[in-house]
Amino acid sequence: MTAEETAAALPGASRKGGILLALLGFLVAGAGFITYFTVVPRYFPGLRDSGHLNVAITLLGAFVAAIGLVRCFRARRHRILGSVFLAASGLAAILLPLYVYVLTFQLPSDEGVVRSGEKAPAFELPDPEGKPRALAEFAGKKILLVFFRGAW
Amino acid sequence: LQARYEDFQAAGAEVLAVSSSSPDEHKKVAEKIGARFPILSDAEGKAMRAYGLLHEDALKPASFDSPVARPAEFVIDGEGVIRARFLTDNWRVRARPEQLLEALERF
Repeated sequence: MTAEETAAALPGASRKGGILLALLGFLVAGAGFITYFTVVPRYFPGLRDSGHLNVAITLLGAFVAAIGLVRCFRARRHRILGSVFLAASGLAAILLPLYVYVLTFQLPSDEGVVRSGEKAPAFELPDPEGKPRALAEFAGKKILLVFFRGAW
Repeated sequence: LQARYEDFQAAGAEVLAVSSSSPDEHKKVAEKIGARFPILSDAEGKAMRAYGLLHEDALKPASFDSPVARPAEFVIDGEGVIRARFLTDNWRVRARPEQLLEALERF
């Protein structure tokens, strides 16, 4: 008896709706992943900062897809398509936490960063018109100086 | 940032943004978001280095050869002295406009 047959023969083991569950899980995980980079930053900056909700959604989606795939195997139908759905959901559920909890914490030490109380280092850089602008131009005014991570 | 620009101005502050994109790219961005503050182009990372923000070994696509900075905000007074500094330990997370305003209004 193969593992599949054992699973299929388990009492009470449901075999129904496997592919639909897998599809549902795929859609949920995909939505959790995509909205983190689209809707959430625009309308829910607080949720973007923590990221927990979207991570939970992708994990839930992958879990549902996994249940769906188990049912696909029990029913011996849609096994390939179900696997694809689970693989895609699983990828979302791995990549998003990796991004939220690991990758974005990769920053250099703050030891060399200028501190409060120090003189702001002078610079001269081109503005969008190509005209050089110096910090000194704004002497006498309060300045909010914002550094972006990289390219806009 | 642009959305709160008037609040920053009302607090008596000039806003200056720095990124490593080219002036041409900044022109497009500025038009798109309607930016009324200058977005300066630090393609060689000079200002980033001067402020100690240059991220030398940042993970980035090989096609991207511009410098990468640790994101940060500084509040500078009329004498050119830094009065407040906002660093983040996660580059997804930036200081909120309210925090910046509070720092600007503190002196």
